[in-house]
Amino acid sequence: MKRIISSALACACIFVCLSVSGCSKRTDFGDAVYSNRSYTENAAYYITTSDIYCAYFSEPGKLYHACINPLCLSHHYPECEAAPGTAVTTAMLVVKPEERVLPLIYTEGLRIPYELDEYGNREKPLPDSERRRGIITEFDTETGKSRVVAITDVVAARRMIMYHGVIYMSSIEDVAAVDVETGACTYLGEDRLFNLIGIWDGRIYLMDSIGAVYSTEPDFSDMREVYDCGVGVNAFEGNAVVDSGMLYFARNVTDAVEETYLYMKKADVYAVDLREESPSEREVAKDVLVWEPDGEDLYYTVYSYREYEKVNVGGVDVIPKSFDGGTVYMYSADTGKSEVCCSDIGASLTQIRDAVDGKILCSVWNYRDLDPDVDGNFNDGVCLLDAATGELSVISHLQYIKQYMGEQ
Amino acid sequence: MKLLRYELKKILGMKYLWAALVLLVAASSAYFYYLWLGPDSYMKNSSREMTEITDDFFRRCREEPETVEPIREKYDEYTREAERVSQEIREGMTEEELIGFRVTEEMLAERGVTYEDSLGYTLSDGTPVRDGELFLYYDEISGQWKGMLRHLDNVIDVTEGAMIRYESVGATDLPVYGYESHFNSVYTSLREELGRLDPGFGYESGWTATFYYLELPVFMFAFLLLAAGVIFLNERSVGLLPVIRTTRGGRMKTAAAKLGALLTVSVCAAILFSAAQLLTTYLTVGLSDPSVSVHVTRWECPYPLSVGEYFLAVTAGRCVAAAAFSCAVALVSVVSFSHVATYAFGVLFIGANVYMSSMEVGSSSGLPNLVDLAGHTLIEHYSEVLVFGRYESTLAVTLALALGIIAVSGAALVLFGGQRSFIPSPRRLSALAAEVRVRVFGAADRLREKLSARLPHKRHTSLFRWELYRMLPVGTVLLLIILYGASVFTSVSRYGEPLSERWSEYEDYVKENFIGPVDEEKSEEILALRDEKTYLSSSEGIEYMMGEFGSGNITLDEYSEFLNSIDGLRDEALALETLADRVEYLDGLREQNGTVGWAMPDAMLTRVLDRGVNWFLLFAVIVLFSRTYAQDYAKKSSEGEFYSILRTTRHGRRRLFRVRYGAVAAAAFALALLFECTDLFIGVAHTDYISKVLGAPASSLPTFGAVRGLSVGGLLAVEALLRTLPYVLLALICASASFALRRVSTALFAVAAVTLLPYAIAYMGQPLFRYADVIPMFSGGELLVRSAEFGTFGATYGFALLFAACYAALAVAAALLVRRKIGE
Repeated sequence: MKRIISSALACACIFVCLSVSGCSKRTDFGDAVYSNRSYTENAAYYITTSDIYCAYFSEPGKLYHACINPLCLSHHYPECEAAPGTAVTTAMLVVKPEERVLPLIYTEGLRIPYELDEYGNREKPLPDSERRRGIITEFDTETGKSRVVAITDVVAARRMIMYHGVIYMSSIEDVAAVDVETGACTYLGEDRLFNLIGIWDGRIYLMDSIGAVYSTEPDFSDMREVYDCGVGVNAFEGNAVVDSGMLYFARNVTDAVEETYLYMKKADVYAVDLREESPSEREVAKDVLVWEPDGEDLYYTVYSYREYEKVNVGGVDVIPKSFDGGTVYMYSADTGKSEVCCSDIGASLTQIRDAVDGKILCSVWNYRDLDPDVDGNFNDGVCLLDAATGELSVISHLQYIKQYMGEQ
Repeated sequence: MKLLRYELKKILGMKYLWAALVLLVAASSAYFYYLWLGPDSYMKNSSREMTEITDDFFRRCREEPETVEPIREKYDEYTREAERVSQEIREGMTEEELIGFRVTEEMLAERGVTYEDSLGYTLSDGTPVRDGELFLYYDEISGQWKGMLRHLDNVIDVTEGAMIRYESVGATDLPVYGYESHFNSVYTSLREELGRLDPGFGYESGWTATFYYLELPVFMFAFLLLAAGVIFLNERSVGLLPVIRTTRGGRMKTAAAKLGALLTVSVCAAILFSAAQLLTTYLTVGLSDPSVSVHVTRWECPYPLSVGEYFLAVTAGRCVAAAAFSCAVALVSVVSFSHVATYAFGVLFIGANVYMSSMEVGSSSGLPNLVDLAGHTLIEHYSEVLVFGRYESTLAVTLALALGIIAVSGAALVLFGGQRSFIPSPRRLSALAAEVRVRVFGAADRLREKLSARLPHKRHTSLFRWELYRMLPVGTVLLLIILYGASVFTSVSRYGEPLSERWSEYEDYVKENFIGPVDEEKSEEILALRDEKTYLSSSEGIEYMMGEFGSGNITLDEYSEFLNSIDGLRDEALALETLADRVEYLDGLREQNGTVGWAMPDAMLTRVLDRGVNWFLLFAVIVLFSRTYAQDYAKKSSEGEFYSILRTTRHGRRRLFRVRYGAVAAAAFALALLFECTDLFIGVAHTDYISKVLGAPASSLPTFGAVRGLSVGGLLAVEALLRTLPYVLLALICASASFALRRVSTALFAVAAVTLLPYAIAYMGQPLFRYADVIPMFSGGELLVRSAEFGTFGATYGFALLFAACYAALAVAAALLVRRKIGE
């Protein structure tokens, strides 16, 4: 009798522990490739160095902290559970498999110089040798809980891609594959510098520092050269991407816009169809400002500076200007031709964050509908451009920079 | 009921439990005082008298506003007038004159603006309490109350907004929606309740300190571990159980009575610890009106309670936690029938709960644990925990868990509490092991016995070894290992803690550049270098170098090099700034007594030399040696052992005395050496430059400025001596006390009181007791510093020598007294 009761008690304890710690269920990520994704069908997500924000498409112009705790005052690390346990966050990946209503958010950045327990609390300072490490955290927006997925040798990755529950990323240190369930890290371990540029057809695509594109198996075995883009194509700067069998890359990168705070450069963009037996490059366009693939197609803008008539905004005379003429192009991989997708949208695209199914998530520089209430026309927040209708909607503002409005 | 009374009487008869209770309640209250009420705490400026006055003022504001309002109007008029006049005075002054200028009451009085205090409060020493001070309190608390209401409104808005957004995306079944809706309903009803209060706020003092004190549960659990660990085990050999246990009903009745006694003791202990905490607060800073709303200070408490009710709620939670902890420990004691297993479980259980309590992430989540239930964390703000995919109130979950532990453990205790354990006792296990050994290795053993029979061998164990063996039973060794582990952990934490940026830069810089004596020339060189680096790293310095480059005095490479080294220059300037402070101190030292001090990286070195008393070692020595003679008294004469035979003759007793005191001294010395050497080794491992500074005068370190004629190496040696030998003396005193007082608990209590009381009283601000405080002697350097401060007989070390001699004489006298008594 005593043994039965003791055994039952032990089982109950183990069951409660497992349930409370949430170890019982694995997420099914399916076969989809989640590449640098930052929004779902309902909302866009945005990171700063220590916060995660959420902007709902149903409430344009409003921005919320992703943290669910109404008593959280600062929403900054380490008090805020939604904020990743990093000193500087550099990349984010929003993953929403079909079984989920709200997404999982993975972030990568420089690890804070303290030891963390599994709940992200600071325990004690790290030794110097351990300080420069990357950290990947997972924030479950359905439960509001976060956890540290892994500590890696790859720091400050620009691009995170998830495939079959494994996050692939690269930086100047190495290329890494991190299993989000187990936290196991695998490294490419090559002497040369490689950058991750995409995943397609079950293979990982990498580019080396002299522009050669390689593909490997997910465990980094069987590395084969696929195409040579030539010297001058810098994948670390985001100048090469593989999506749905198409390789897009940029050459001849030069400064485009005088306003240095925009960091905008122009380049010639080329497309290579990797599905062909003997892939060859085709020029998409010259002087391309921003570009982002949507599946096999490509959205981009071309440098075309223009000034408009002076207007008075909030008591200040401003000369509105655009850098791309408000025109967005789409390159079709099937036809090999570009066409105007939207024209005169009222703003220049300064950054494309993501493009999925004809929806372009971007930051803009307005030249029309300048808003006196927000003191500016530069929106470094989140805007959504519908490529089919050309309708641009502001999801959220993050910065309003009055001093860059033009004539004061 | 008779059985319950009998069990309670049995527990109340255990004197060592009483001693433990008194010690732990006193330690808890003393630590509480140190943290929250003492001279270094945030309530250091509070007093009971002022609390009573302010409380009365707030009561008047609430109940007799007509006596306060006219005075307030008069005071407001005065402040308006004073502000106007102050403005006039300032207008006539230049910017330079305004720096540090303050309009005083005298200046206002000269211009005819005066105010006479009319509320009529004075302190017992006749000092009037200013009306302005009381009105300021009132405005401050009134502002806090409004801020709290705004905060609650904001929380409600945030949760409502979140719920609407989750509804819009069809996420109403998700845990986050439940979380937000629970928060919304809790704080909405609280806001309505608080909105009905008028004015709602009042003066609160003292209570907050009791809420902040989160360490109380650890002291309480430590006592309960001692109590719950013996209630069921002690019945093995004594009492009525052997008779009653002959029937199943009798066994269950006995167990139920024990459980009742256990619960009673747990609840009483929880109440006693809380009451002692409240009494400490009342006697020091006083307690304000208990009917004031707790939301004056605890903005996010989800329940509309007054501070008094809040305290009662905390105490109730503490009672439940205490009962749950006791039941769990008692159950383990019944299952294992082993003191070691029970106490090991208890320590681990407390540790696990403390750890879970510290793992709070954000202000709204955490893991359910008994430490939080015994503190106030769970009602300080509303929090929820994810259980089976749903958010539930952490308070409810923790209460359910605690009550579950009580119910399950209680049932198991009643069912099995009167029976023997199914896990074999250590004695049975060793018998079993011996049997296995005989069966397996029997032949080999027999052969060895035959061979050994032919060889000469010792007839008996030496008395010295026998004494050492007696001194260290398994439980004591376990305790020593735990204390040693704790001591090592503390050392590693203390020395491993990185220095602040300023001190770290200073250490690195001085280590590389400036270890050595600082005479006048060196001093000037350092100060000049400080000025140069500070200038170059400032914006003026950068402009100067830019000008130099512009005028062609330096090349582009030199200018680029300068710009690249700017960060390094700033670090150097910071380090030199600190070094300059040290140099000024060394200059003073040189002028004062001609000592040429050294510049050295002293931050970590000071940490090593000024490491304070090792409390774990002190505790180990007192616990270990307070039982030296008490064990003899506890043994029955029928339990004859070798030394019992020796004690029958005077010669034997004296021989035993010599060996025993020798063993005590040797063991204490070895123990002190082990603890101190480990600590010193860990400290020195963090100071890789120590060999270079051993010859420097110890007074080069500001902490040891008063210590003359000793080098750093000498100070280390004296410290090592002082930190080892006093423990030998303490051990001898403990042994003598155990002879005189006959019981372990009494001897332990007496020695602890004599050792710690002067320290505690001196700490609380009675300087006279510093002359009787022996604790600095165990920390080495501190006694030397204190001695130099006192300057007894005009000698630097007069007091230290006298003090050490007195302590040695005390130990020797006590030992001689024992020898004489034994010889009678």
